[in-house]
Amino acid sequence: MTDRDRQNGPGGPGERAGERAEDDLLALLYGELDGEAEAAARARVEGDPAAAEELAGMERVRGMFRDLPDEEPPSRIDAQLLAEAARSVPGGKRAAAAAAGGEAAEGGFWARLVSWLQPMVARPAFAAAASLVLVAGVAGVLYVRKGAQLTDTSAHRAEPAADEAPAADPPPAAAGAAAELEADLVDPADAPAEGAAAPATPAPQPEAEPRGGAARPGDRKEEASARRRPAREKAREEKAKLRTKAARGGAGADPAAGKGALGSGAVYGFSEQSIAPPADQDGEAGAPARDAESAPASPGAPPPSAPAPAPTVGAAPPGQKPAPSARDLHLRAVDAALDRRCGEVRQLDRRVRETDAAYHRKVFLADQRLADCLGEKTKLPAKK
Amino acid sequence: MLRDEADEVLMVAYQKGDVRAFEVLLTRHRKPVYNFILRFVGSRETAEDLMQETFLRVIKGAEAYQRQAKFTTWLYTIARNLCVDQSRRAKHRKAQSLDAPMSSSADSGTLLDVLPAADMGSDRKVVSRQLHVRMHEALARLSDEQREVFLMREFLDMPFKEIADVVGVPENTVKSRMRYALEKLRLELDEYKDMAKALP
Repeated sequence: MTDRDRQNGPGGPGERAGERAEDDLLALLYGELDGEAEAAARARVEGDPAAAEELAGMERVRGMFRDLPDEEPPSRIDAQLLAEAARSVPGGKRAAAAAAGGEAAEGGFWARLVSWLQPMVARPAFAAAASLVLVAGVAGVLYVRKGAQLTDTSAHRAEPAADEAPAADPPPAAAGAAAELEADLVDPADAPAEGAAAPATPAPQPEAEPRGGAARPGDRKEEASARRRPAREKAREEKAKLRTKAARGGAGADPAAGKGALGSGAVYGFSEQSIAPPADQDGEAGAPARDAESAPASPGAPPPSAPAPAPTVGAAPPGQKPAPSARDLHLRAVDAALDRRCGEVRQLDRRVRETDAAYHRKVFLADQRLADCLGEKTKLPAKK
Repeated sequence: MLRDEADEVLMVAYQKGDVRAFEVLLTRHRKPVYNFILRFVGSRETAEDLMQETFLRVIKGAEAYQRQAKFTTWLYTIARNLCVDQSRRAKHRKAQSLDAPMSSSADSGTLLDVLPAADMGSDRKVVSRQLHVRMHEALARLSDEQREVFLMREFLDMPFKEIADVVGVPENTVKSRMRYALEKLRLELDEYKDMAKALP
């Protein structure tokens, strides 16, 4: 018979009395009887061997289970529960909680910091979104800065010779070359307002090339990226870079300094006026004259439009103005191509070929940005 | 000092947003709740899950908690209901085999690992362990109604009146179940009483 049977059973008065007596025995065992009832139960046990035996049996069982050791729950559960408890604080009464802790109420820095961060801790989704924004922001800044550094680095790496000896002392001829370069690159509409600075070093690589460190004509990913940009915008960017470098004047004399200057100037968009000339540049690089016509005012500087003869890259004969390098010409061709001035591109194509046939063959002709303009030309018998 | 406060005071503090009050409650009740569940269901993994669920329900239900209610009654009502549900689900599964993970008292392995071996008689630790296995087996053979009452009275030291509140039956029914539980356990473990006496 189970206890349930017993509950549901008929249960006469005698049985009820017996149950009550057993209940009292049980209550005695667990110390739940008060004075009088306890005394009555003890008297019954003493006078009834069966009751005494029953009580002894129950005590034996209790004794065995008393020694059963407890186990420790895993602490990781506690951590999860506390996190959940913090997240689900009832009624959003965190202010009361802070007041109870007496920390936030005191207005200490740590308390305020905790109270600011508490919503994030309580809402992981919010925290995750904030983290994402932060990471994206940092990554964006790093990307832009790294891109600028790579641009400058690759410009130096591509033509180290041009960065070194001959360009170390650029003086008047450099100004002339800069003026020429500037004149070529400047949009006709912008021309009068442009500065007359002189890069003694080659212009930076077009944007598609520098990321690999050296020219990579076949880098289709970069090319595709470049093509996606509006041509006009890209041309303006490149002009800005060149102007920055030109305004810096003779940066090649100190590659490290040049790198820094270009990096910061290019990235943070220094205006031409804001870039001060180095003291040892004969005042030309940063000359106050702000139009192309003022550039030839420097001693020995030819007019901007006058194309120089084409010596080899970076090797200007003494006393003679160094001709633009194949790379400079290439860059100008890119600029012209982006502006859809295909006639100029074809002229520059010829000049690059004359200046450096190997460069022309390996780099210039492989530049997909020029393909549209040169594509027409390559069909000509002369090119074949 | 939060640690000295009654459960009900701590619960009200948590209602007001004091997470440390909940932490004190958790520290105070985690072990008894875990062991109650473990002895009820006989599986550590299930016991961990159910213990977590018990306290999660406390967290979720905190806002509706009434100070008049005894906290432990509420807490163990949740735990007990989870155990009963689990037990009902388990009854649909096939019976435990000898290769299945054994009940809570064994530190590792299966039931086979702790069955008596001929050369183990003199080892008190093994005897103790063996006895504990038998006790858990005897507990497992109780009905859910008897087991829950026995565990609450014996291990949680809960008065019969409070057990009646948790289980939702009259107090005399609780006592009746308790008597039957004790009688059944006595019969199951009678052969081990000498072994138990031999242990320190």
